[in-house]
Amino acid sequence: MDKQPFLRLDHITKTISDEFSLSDICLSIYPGMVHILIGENGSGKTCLLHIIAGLSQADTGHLQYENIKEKILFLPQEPQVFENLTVAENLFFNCYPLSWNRSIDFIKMIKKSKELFQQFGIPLNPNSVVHYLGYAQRQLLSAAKALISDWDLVIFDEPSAALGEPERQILFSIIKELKRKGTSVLYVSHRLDEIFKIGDVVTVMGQGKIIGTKTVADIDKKSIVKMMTGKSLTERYPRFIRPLGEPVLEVHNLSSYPILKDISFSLYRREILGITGLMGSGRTKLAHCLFGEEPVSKGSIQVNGTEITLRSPIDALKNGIALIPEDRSVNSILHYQNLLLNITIASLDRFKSITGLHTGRMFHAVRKYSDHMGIKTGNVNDYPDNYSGGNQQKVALARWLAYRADIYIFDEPSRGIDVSSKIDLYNAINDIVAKKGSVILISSDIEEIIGMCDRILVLTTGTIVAEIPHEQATPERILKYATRG
Amino acid sequence: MFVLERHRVIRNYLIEHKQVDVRTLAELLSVSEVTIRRDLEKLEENRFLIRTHGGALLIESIQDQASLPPPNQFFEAIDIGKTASRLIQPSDTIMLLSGNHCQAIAKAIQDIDHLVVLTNDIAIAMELGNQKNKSIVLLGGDLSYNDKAVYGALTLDDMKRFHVNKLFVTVDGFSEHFELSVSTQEKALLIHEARNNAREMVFLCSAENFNNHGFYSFGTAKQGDTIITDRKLSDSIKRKLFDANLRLFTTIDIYEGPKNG
Repeated sequence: MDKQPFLRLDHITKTISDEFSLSDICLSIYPGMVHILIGENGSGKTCLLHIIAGLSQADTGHLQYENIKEKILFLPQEPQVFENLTVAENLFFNCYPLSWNRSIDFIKMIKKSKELFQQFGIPLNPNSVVHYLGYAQRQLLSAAKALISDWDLVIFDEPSAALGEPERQILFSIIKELKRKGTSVLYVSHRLDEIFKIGDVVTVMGQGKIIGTKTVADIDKKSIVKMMTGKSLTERYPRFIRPLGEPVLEVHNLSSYPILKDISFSLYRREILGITGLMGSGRTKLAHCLFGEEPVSKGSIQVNGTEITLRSPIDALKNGIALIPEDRSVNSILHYQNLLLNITIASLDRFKSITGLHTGRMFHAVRKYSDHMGIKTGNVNDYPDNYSGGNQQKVALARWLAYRADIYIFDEPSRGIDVSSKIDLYNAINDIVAKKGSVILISSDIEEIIGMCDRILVLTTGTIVAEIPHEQATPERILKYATRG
Repeated sequence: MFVLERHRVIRNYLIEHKQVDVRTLAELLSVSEVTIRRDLEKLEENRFLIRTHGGALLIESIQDQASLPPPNQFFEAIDIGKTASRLIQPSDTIMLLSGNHCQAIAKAIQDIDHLVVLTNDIAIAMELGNQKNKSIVLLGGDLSYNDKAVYGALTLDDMKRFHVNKLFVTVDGFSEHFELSVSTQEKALLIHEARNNAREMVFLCSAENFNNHGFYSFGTAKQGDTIITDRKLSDSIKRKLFDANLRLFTTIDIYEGPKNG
């Protein structure tokens, strides 16, 4: 690489939380190159992009541009489009073609976008309103923005996560065109095959650090996977072996618009079933479908051998399925309510007496739960809004433990909580399965999945691509399936 | 709730608090006050307590007896025993070395069939001897007066002939550098030797014994070892153990089983 770098990152550090920080990032981006950033979920890729795009500021270190007037386009993971405008209006939003009287030349705009769509085979109509477009189409629309004016650097944040194969090909042709024009591209991806299709340089990130930067020409798939996984510590998870019972949950050919296709699996009594997959693979969607929160378009769900229809979470709860959702501060915690109600809200019928609720028993139960789960400070009059993430998660779990469900679905339970809360959480999961409950653990932390689960399902773009028993699970193997390598 | 269960709860409550009033108990057990009065009458007959107006007091002599092993520690040991029993599968071979936690394990593994248990503790052997579904091997050696367990050269020699899957050890001290220690020399020697004869080590330790030194150390906790402790363990130690790649179980025992099945 004899060319002058277009952008240089010099020892960038940024502390995001106690648990996570970017440390000592050095990166050079050259003009006319496709630079691919790859790494597991939560390795700090998006955070780094935000610093490059100027959305957040680094704590130390600096960014050096070749010249100060660079034009950078940042396309975030969720396509940012204006829903009430048409496709053409969105496309030309920052550079409307003007007619002689400085009014917007709509005819020219539509003509130009039609040409563009034809050239790349993008299946969009310039006149349709964006509100009615699907997710993949919006993604393509925002990618097409990169072609409208001359950018110096275009940053794609996981654009292909939710795209089908034909859309992906269109995206690649857009990137190739950008490259031909001499634009630098920074492309964040999860899929290994994309590196070899479009990439020139690849940087592997892990746990807020850069593990290595290589040119694509002298690297193979295997060594990238090796760089991504690093050394893994799966021994430290408190897993114990137990005899599995009969199937409690059977899912047959479950599909749900737009991602999930033909999901079939069964969950046995006393089992911890792990479901993993990359961002956008439909993990959370699957959890929501099983909890009746999102409609199922096809397929059947059986609990204890009888088929059930889940119209709402209430149906799921009646059948003994509880969900501990991903975003606890938004979805679990009752704000402006004290710990007493936060824990007992799901199981109030256990505390009813002739005159109303039996407060004494409620107090006693809440003290017992906060003692066992290690909720600090655990005072019944506390407001869990003020608790740390770990304690909030424990409150959410205690609530559903009190409900005594059969099947517990954990969606990313350990994301963003401290290590000691994690250990408590794992031990609580152990307590559930030791007493004939069953657990579905959805997580993107591969170590955790291998460490805790008896069986692991790997989800890729809405389908289960592999089922791996605990004994055969290695991070390399799971990543290989998850990245479709 | 059955009468016996109620009596047990009342007894534990009394040992802990020395006195109790009827209303608290009624609330705690969610039964009527009349029932509680009847229970207290029964317990008074057994010379466990003295009834007073609206409540009851623990009889002093019992209080003295109960204070020999502190009640908290007693419950902790039971909890740790229960948690440890989860690690044991049917037809496993295990070794239980003397100690209060291992005695609790012996009580907790009643329902696990076809176990082969190797032990040096007479109380454990007696407890397990009453359970039909197990075979017990009692090691020989010099009987220690305090522990009611065997130690010494004979025991070490005896043990060489056996190999077990899991070795359960009560640890009296767990230092900052994961150094493990116990209170007597002979015990330290025995554990040190037994370690070679076991595939997996499980250390049982009360939370208060962390960051503590016993007098006789017998080695350090290594990667892959399992530690079982009660749930009062402080957050910083949990984090340290996790970072050191040690498997940590705590005694969370709160789920009441599925409602439907």
